[in-house]
Amino acid sequence: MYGWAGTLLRVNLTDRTVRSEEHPPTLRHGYLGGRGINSRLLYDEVKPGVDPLGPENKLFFGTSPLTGTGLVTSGRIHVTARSPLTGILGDSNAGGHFGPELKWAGYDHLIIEGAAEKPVYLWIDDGHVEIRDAGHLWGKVVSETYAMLRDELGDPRVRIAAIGPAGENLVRFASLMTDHGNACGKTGMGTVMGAKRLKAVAVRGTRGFRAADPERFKAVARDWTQKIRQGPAYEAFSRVGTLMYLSQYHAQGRSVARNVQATADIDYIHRYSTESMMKHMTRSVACFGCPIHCKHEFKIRKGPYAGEAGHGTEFCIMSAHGPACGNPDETAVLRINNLCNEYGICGDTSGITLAAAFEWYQRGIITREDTDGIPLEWGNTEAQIEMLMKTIRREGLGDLLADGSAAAAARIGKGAERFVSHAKGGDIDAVDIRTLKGCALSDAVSSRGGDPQRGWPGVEFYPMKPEKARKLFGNEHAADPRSYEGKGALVNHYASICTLCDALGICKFSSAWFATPIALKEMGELVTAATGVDFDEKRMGEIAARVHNVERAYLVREGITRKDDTIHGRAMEEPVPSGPYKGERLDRDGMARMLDDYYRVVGWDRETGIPTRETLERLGLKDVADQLQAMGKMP
Amino acid sequence: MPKKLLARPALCVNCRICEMACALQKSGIFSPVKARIWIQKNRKGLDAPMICRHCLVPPCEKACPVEGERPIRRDKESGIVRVFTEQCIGCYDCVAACPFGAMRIDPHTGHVFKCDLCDGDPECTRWCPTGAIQYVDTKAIGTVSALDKG
Repeated sequence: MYGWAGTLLRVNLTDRTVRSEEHPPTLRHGYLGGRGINSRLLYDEVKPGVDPLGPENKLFFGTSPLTGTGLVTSGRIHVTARSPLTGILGDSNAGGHFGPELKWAGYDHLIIEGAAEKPVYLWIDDGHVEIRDAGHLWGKVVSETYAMLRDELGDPRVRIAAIGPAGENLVRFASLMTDHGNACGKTGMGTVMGAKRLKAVAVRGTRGFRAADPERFKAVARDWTQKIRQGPAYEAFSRVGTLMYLSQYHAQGRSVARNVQATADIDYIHRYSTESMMKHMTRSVACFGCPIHCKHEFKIRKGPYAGEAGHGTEFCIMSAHGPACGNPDETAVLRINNLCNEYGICGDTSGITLAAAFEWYQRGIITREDTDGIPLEWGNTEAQIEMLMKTIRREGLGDLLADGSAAAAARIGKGAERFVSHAKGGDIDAVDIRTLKGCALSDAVSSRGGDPQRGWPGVEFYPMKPEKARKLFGNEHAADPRSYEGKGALVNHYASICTLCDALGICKFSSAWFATPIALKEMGELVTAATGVDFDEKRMGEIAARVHNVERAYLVREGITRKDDTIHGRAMEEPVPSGPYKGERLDRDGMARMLDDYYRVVGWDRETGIPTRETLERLGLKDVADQLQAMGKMP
Repeated sequence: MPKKLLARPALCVNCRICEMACALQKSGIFSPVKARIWIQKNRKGLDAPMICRHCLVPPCEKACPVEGERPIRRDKESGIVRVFTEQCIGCYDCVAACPFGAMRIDPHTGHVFKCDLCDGDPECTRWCPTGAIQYVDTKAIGTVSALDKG
């Protein structure tokens, strides 16, 4: 076998058994790897309605045939389980070096079942797999856990995926950290680790794997590295990374200050410009195999957080814990970035959640009595950090917030839910969704709830000529961010690219989702060079659709239908208050039309949003259709 | 004068593409333990490519206790320092002696191995996306490395 390592590793923490299984060709050829195979395994192995924090939930770590090859951004690890935050499919992927190490150890996927009685960690040293006591690591922050484990295992090159105290405390959006500053953040995969009392997975891999055609592989790999470097955004992006978006979105009127109550018309917005942020960055760092190197290390030189240094800060956390929380001090966000990495909590979701809490406080929905005396006033960064720590420790109001903003709002009542923006419990990213209709559709239909990485059509951010949009997406209004027309095909186009990136464990910033010419055809060439199995553009498109439909079937089985494909919060109620998009909002009729169009494009039933039998059978998913039928779910 | 590999840690971003290029070139498999080059944090905290300098007076050769024809020899003409595994006794004194971390141990065979400059066309330099590994004329080493100083 080429490209794939050829083995699935199954570890049961309840009865402490370890089993290596042959990697079946139906999975490999039908779903590639990463998110593709993880989602199929989740559908097959995790029955509907199980408690996400119970032993019946499983945690799937997935690599792909490209992972660990050194080719274009092949360093990612994809983690999947039923989400404790949203109750639907949960998954998240991270860069760094953990995924490749797992693959070099000889495993394409790692499946964690059951739950340990006491804290444990998993040690994978090529063929030697051991469940070891982690009592001494429980309660430690992430960097300390790494240091103790590397010391204990006697090898500084051991790669580790670990949770911090937030995961141990079952904060429902706890992250799983791989290497310094790389997080599987969204949907609470770290929480599932915590519930299984699995503190960490440590891996050392030396076995490696083979390419089908090494010479061809080398040629393709070098060619693609050059193409990425020659892309129009490479120069800027390799320097500033996602911080690039800060200034762009301020100028475009898409910032979401004070929990989406204001745009960029706040007096400290200049502190969140790209260039202002870059002053704190000391050097660029790459994930494994990445010629883009968009991550940073930073050090704060002046002010109350002087001396604070750390790894990796991205647009999302800057925006969520910055303007969205009314925080006027960008260095405080860098401090928060470190706390999130060390305590293992999603920087994005925690920021959005706190932003809602700040607004509840502003409106008197919660008071100082509820916050244990912490004044949650806009701009009070100390209060923000204190409330974050209370959330991590599940103390007082923090205990409520630790269940996520939608669940907290439901408990609080008094109309609190009006100020929470989400889709299926997944928070809407800290960008004003009212100004981007296709992105709103993408959020509404995303299989893991509100999330940009599931296929936000980036063309909506940058003007495109109507003729070009017609040529590319079949409708001249498709790329117009204000229009509701032609969005079905547009979103499906980008969702396919994103799905395949996730299935191949490559970064979306090296794909046509971003400004790089790697789309379905090119990804197929890469996989063919690695595996020797022929994957053309058509086959890649089918794989994306297959993954997409299996994920939808999983959601359908959990009770999701058309009614859930929507955006909650003020986006549907209130217009944008100021800036270039003043007056713009999401219109119910427009959303309904976009859904009709989208369901038509992907072959789902218009009334229910459930995949039709014809669609499922065309993708070789007759078994899924039969199961949905038996459950009475088929339209 | 022959060309030499030059590492420029100031440009390295720890992507480890060079490790994969080398492993693939030299062993045909994807596994960094097979690579002759590797990235490691240096004393300044920078990610630095660990490369063989092909020293004029190689400490690895000097440390080798094998008598007679040594398994580590420098070719005068090309300047390439090579390991000949048939004569190697696997004591690893050369690994400890190398000040640059360039002598490596294959965990599968126990043999030591090292960079041979791909006989004058080093694969790693063709893959490095940032120019942190360069293959430069020996005369130019001082000039190029001075770019990162001061």
